[in-house]
Amino acid sequence: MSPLISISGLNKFYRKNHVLQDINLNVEAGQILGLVGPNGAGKTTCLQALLGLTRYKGDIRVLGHNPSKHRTKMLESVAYIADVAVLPKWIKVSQALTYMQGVHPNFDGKKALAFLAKTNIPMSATVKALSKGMVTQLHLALILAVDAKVLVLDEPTLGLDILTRRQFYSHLLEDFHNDDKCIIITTHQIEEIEHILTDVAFIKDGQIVVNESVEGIRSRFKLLAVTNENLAAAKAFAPICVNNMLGLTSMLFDDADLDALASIGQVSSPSLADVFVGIMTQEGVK
Amino acid sequence: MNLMQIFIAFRKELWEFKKTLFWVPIVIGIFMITAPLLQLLLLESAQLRIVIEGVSNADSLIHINGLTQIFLATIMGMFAPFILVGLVIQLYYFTTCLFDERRDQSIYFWRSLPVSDLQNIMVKLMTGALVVPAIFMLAATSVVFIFVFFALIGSCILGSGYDVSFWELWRHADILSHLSSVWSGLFFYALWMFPLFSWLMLASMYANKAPFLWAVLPVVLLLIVEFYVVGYLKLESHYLREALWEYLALARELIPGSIQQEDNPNHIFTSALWSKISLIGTALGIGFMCLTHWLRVNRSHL
Repeated sequence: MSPLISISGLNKFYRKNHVLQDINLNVEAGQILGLVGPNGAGKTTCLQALLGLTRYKGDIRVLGHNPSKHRTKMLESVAYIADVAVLPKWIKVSQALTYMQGVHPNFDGKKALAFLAKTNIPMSATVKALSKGMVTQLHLALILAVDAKVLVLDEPTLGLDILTRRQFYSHLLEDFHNDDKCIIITTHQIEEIEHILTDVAFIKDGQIVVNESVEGIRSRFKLLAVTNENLAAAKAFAPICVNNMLGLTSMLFDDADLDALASIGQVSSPSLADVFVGIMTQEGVK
Repeated sequence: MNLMQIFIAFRKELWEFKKTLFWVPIVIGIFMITAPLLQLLLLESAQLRIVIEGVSNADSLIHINGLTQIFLATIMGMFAPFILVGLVIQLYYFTTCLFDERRDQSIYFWRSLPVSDLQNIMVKLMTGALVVPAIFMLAATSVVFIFVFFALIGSCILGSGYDVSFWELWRHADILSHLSSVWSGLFFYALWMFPLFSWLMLASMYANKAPFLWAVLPVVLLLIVEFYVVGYLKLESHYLREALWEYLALARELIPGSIQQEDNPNHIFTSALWSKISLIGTALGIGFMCLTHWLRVNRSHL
């Protein structure tokens, strides 16, 4: 099966800054890929290149389309929520629905209305009058009503409270995702979306440093809790990250011998956040 | 080409500028209607007597030379405030239409939808160049019809009660023909202003701050440079200054005083505007639009 998104040799320069360095990524139907990295790592630039919103070097195919050449055609089957509140302040909810109905061939107005009916967003309100959470819900209603194959979300819950964030992701899974579609999502709150991701790509200084399925990451990386007497033995296995807390040391290992680790301490599967922090704070990862 | 998409894109532009495009023409219209009525109410008895005398001698008005031209000049005079304010709104629209959506970052929303940048820019150009002035002209036309309505009522009253007939005067008024003549100038007006409009759109697309300054400052700088170059090299003329003056100056034929001297006043509007359209200006306008489109595709975000 050919991937819905295929990125190979993606490079992007801002003047002399090499902000994306030889990015290679494939996303297939059914996958929910988390593109995770610290601020300034290149996540948003990567997504903008994917959507044809910025110039780039390399080859990108989204549903077989070249985003820089066939952006309009591609966007008929791709939906996007940016990392900032981008709905125009002057537009009314009803106008936003009418506009989407008029310009988007795959927009289902009834679906959007059904979604909005679950919220307390009035149809006559302008975006300016809505709270930040309501604006996100409105944007989500507009986007989820599009029969898109690819959904691109760039920090979609930034600045929202935890209730709205959870609601957002549950709607995403209930109302959008199925095996024919894929989602690519960037976020800082990796622990909140860990359970919905199928794959993760960690991006650091414009480079993809890890690109694996969530299951693969959990079996590849291990967290070891050791007491001080076994510290030297544990360090011999070359941990990628060491953390001391309350007399107990935890270490993150990449592809280490599980039995050997178990003999010197308590082994557990790290969360994605643990792996992310470990990788971002070490010098290099194999 | 998706006609529904284009139609909804025009509606979007009107939604965005709804307050300005709805209320400003209405306010001007109300002022245009109430001001002469108030003036009539505030007339002193001596002035009122002169008006009544003038009205009772209406029969003699038809012997005035160039009556048709006077009617056309009157209609153009009623259109003038609308067109002038409409021009200010147009300049505002073109200066902000591409800048505002980058400033509030809504460009990310618009560009996440399957609407081409070319279509987007062309809709904005058409809205500013044709739809905005058409709205103001529609308001002006409504005011003309309101006055015609008042005049008709007045004619009926004076005709039946005071035996003063205005019907011969009505025959010379040719109002519909004058209105269609003014309306037919809209397209030519847009073509005349096309280089200016496209330059403002380019400034609106290019500027990260203060698009109006970006529109004005380069021209002022060029004029200053030309002033010094002409002075230093002792050249005979300021080409740029004169070209700009020639471009922006109102055609002589459009000045109400000149209309009365024209033999064929109904074509005066189109012919005067046609004389303002130049090949170089249009080519410059196309160049500015191409640059605007390029910037929109390649440098949309602030």
